[in-house]
Amino acid sequence: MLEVEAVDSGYGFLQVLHGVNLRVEEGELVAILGPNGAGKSTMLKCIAGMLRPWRGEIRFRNRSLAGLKANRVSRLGMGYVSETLNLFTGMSVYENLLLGAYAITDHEIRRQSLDFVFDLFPRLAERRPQLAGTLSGGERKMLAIGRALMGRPALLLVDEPSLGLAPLLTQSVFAALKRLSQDGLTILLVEQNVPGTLEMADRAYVLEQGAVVLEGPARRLQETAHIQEVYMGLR
Amino acid sequence: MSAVKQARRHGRRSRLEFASMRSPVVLTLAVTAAVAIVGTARAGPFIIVNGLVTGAIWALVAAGLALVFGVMNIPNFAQGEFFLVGSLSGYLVFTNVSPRIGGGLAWAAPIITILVALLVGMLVGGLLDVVIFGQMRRRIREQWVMNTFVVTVGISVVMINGYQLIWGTDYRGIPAYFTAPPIHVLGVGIAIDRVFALAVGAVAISGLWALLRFARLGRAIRAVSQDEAGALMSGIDISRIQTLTFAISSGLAALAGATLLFNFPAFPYVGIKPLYVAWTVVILAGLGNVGGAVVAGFIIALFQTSTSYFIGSQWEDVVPFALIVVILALRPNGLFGRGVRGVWEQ
Ligand SMILES: Nc1ncnc2c1ncn2[C@@H]1O[C@H](COP(=O)(O)OP(=O)(O)OP(=O)(O)O)[C@@H](O)[C@H]1O
Ligand SMILES: [Mg+2]
Repeated sequence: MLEVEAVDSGYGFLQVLHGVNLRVEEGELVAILGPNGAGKSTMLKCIAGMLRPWRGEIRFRNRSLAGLKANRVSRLGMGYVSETLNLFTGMSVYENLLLGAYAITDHEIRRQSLDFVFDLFPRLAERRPQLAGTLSGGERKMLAIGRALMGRPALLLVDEPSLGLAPLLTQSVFAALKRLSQDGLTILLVEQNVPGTLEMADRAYVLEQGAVVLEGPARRLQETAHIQEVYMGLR
Repeated sequence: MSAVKQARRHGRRSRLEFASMRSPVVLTLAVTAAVAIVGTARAGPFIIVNGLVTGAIWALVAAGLALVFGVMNIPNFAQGEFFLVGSLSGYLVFTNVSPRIGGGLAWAAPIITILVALLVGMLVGGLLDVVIFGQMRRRIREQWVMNTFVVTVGISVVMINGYQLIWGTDYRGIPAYFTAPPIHVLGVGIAIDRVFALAVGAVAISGLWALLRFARLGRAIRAVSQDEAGALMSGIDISRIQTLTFAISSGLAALAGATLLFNFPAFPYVGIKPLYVAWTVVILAGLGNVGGAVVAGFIIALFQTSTSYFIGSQWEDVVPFALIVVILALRPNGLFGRGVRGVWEQ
């Protein structure tokens, strides 16, 4: 579904990513783990088309994304939930969701997606007319995920959904992602909540200082000494 | 801990907003109403009528400015030249079409005229955006507001001089669109042209409002103005939306120019007055606030008409400006405005 090959990227003169390789197969839930500033968000921005790779190639559904702007990438079936969420704060929950389905002109499909999102996050249904800017942190996360789902993505990129959430809310957002994954959606998830993420992911990559230092099935990574020491505080 | 702190901060902020922000708005609206009532009582209803007519047209020009600032973060100082584009196309179309269709269809000529002007304004604006701002969007990120400000001033100069080169400095105007005698409302005679202008303003403003509020395009325009990255993620081609926004804004100014042709004949500098009045309106309303610009357009126009009646027409622009100084001293972001942000800071 997604192949990232030897990608370098960064901001201005600052190189952040150094030859990153990763791939996501159809139906998988893959996690990118790593400390603050490792370049996890930068990687997702490159995949989503918000940032241009300096070198290397990104392929999505067997198609190179080179030179495509983010709006085109989105229309190819890539849903992106950024770290800052980028909600339309002056618009209602409903309008935010409608904009998520901007590229979809079929009324019926749009209505189905709306029902699906409201079923996944009943809280959003209750807040339908409320301005996005007045939602709580957890509700905002749900809205950002919901908006991305409205575009019927084949691959969903989610950047740190647990950021700034209380443990209980983190659990419910994770539960939603798990449900999406079980329904067959392919997900690439960036997280710092390592134990919770490895519990539900199929595979994971560990990114440190812009390079992949460890990769493999989530089960196996849970056993790895490096993960247990650095990320789980065990040993 | 942070929840409590946040709630407290929130509470304080909203009280502050109420105390320092609402009262100037209420005060301005109250003073405006008072001026309208007293003016009408002393001088007759034409104060309100004239205020409404000019207000509707200023609102059109200013709404365009506000839209372009809100969506593209461009302080457009060439808006007056789109008014000129409208006056000129209006003049050329009307003087050619009107003699050809007479009799029962004569009423159609002004409508055709303003529609053509609207279209020409949109085309010129759209083209200009593709050629100039579209290129700037791809290359320049720093100092966007300042750079685009300078560029729009440049566009204005080029358009004024280009006009002068081709069409010279003659006034090209018409005495009136409609030959019918004035209608009488509450004992005042109002020229049909003014009624027409009011109607055009009302229809165009309602149309703009409906577009922004309900249409898919309007929702995309608001999305781009609120969060460009979010719009991109949702599959919106923001450069296309910005071109359309600029076209709509230019079209509105051209529509205003054509509609007021009976009052403002086409000549190189005709755009200057609409430009600075529209800027006054937009600053009063708060930059980027389209709805506020409409309200402020009427407020300014009412002050202009009553000033020119009671004090003298040479004071027409002084009083509104003084009003703005006072309001901005109390509310730096304008009556209905929030903070001003650069295009890349959203
Ligand atoms: N817009 C930007 N301009 C310049 N430098 C940036 C920008 N965004 C990120 N960086 C830098 O790039 C590096 C990687 O940032 P990135 O956001 O990808 O890290 P991350 O792994 O997502 O970290 P976190 O877990 O804190 O979100 C950091 O050193 C950061 O300072
Ligand atoms: Mg990050």
